[in-house]
Amino acid sequence: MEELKQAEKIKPGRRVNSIAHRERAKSIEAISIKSEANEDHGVVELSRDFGLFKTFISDCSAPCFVKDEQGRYVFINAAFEKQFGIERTSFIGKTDSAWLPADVAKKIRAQEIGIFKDQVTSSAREELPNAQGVNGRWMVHKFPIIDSLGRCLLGGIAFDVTAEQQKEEQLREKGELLELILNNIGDPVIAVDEVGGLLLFNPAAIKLHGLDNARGKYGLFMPDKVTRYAQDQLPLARAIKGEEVRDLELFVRTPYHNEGITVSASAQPLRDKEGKLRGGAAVLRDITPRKQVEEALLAARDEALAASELKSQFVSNISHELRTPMSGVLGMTELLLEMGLEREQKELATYIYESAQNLLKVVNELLDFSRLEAGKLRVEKTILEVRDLLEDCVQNLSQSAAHKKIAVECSVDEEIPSSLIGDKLRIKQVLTNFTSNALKFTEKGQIKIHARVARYFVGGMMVRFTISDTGIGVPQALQDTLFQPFVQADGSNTRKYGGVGLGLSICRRLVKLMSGDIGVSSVAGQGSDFWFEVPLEVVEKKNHEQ
Amino acid sequence: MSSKAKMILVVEDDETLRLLATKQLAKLGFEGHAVSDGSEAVEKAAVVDYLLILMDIQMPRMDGIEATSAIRQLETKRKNQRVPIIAMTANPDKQRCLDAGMDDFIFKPVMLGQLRELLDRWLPAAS
Repeated sequence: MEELKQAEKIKPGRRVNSIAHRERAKSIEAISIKSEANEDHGVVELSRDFGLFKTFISDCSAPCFVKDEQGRYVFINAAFEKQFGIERTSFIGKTDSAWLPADVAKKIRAQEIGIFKDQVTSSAREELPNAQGVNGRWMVHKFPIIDSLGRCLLGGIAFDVTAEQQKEEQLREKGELLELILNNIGDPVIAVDEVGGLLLFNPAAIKLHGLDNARGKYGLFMPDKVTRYAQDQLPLARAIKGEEVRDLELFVRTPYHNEGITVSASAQPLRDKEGKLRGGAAVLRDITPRKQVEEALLAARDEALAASELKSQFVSNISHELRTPMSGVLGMTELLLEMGLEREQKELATYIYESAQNLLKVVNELLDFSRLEAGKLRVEKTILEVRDLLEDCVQNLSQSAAHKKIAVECSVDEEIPSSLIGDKLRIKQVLTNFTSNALKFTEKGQIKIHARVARYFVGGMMVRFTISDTGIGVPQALQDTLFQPFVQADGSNTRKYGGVGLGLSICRRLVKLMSGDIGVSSVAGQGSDFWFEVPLEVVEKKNHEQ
Repeated sequence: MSSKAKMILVVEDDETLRLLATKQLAKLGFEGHAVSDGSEAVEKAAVVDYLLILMDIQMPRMDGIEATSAIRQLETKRKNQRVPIIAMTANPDKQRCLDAGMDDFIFKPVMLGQLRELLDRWLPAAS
């Protein structure tokens, strides 16, 4: 025990260095490890206690060995036996080829010859099989020693570094993988340290930026392609101040991209485990093709809008030009009809009058449609009376309905106040359209016009108008498209029933413009319920009294 | 009332419509004076005391908007009574008409019934 304590005080023996070793070897009787123990404390110099040294080597937890100049093992310790599954008694006198593959043994031998020749120490990694035959990684330190007989031997001690090596390999592999990713990724990746010094610039970044700053102009611009970004607004500058940047659009000009490219940049501050800011990393993505497509789309849209505007203007002008002669025809015919014509003359003049009215209706629809398309039609709120509106409709229909022997009736729920505020003209237009359609497509039966409150809201109510007929109805499949422009229940109907197919699409747009809704429910052959609802405001008492 | 007091100015560039308007007015018991553009209207309005003016908007030389402004300026200057000016058009820009000093609208095609209603509204004593 005392000996052991003393042994602990011994500083690990200096690794034998070749020149010192040779000189010392002459005067040393046994294994040459000199004690540097402090002699002031009366410590017995250990160099004479061979037994202890023997124990030290034998019990050393790392495998130790001694070989002669021919590479034959002359000593192995217990750890050697245990670690490599070797039995000492049968092993002494054998070379490495006894337990290692021939090529490994040959390599080790060549190395050891060098040690003997140059009298130098060596540390090298070797792959050695353990007791189970599984190869492990060992760091083997070897050094020449000279025994008391003056024979030159080779001492060695091996440390298991399998775990460390695995870890190193894993790290290396991870590093290689990261490098592989960074090298192969199409997006430029740039990393800087906390003061903006370049840490990483992957090949894609080089491709974007080039390596030489010398020739050509560089510039980082805002999406307008003209305004330069302020230095402190750039993604990496912001990242090293701790800010996270997402999808910042940069227009980049470099000598490699004279036309400039648009990139979307994202940058992230880099923090170590303690949370300390260590720099920033940015990933850029070339979005030039996407931008070009976007720009082309925008240009196409502008063009289409301009063309649409031109078309609307054209239709508007044409309608206006058509209305002037129409006014003449209608007005003059009306006067003519009141001039006491003969029966046949009157009949003909009436045809002129009706034809002119039909023509005017088409012109009006075209004009409405083009104004709705161009967004030029505005809602105009006035005081209206729902009952009057419905009664007017019935009145307008009465003559034609009577002619077809179809009954027309209207009803208004009592909840609806006598006066409300809304766009009287446009509501009347939709009502007239629905009712004249109902009459057009009904051969027998009746037409009912009904108004009720669909729901209340603050300051008013949604009034729902329903026009029910017993006409031909609308097939289910066509009900959705019926309110699209130029659609009629049946393409062939255009001839039978007339009309350009704009009426319902105009109604839909008008109702939407008034923030309402429109629809139809119908069973083919049995009739249709066309409905629309629009918000109408209540008249404040003050207004009402006026 | 004198017949002069029953005169209505019709400002319209289309010849047929000028004729139509005067005939319609005659049928309703009014005398129509027809002119074919805004500048003529301003000249006439400066010398004749009309009951009402029916004014087209789109016309060559001087349009209805300009003419209305000019007539209103003259009225203010002379401290004359304000004559009702009615826009007579197919698709008026209502706000622009009102801003220029117009009072009401009648849409083309102008039919007898509508014209009667309008005159009843503006000239209850005359009709």
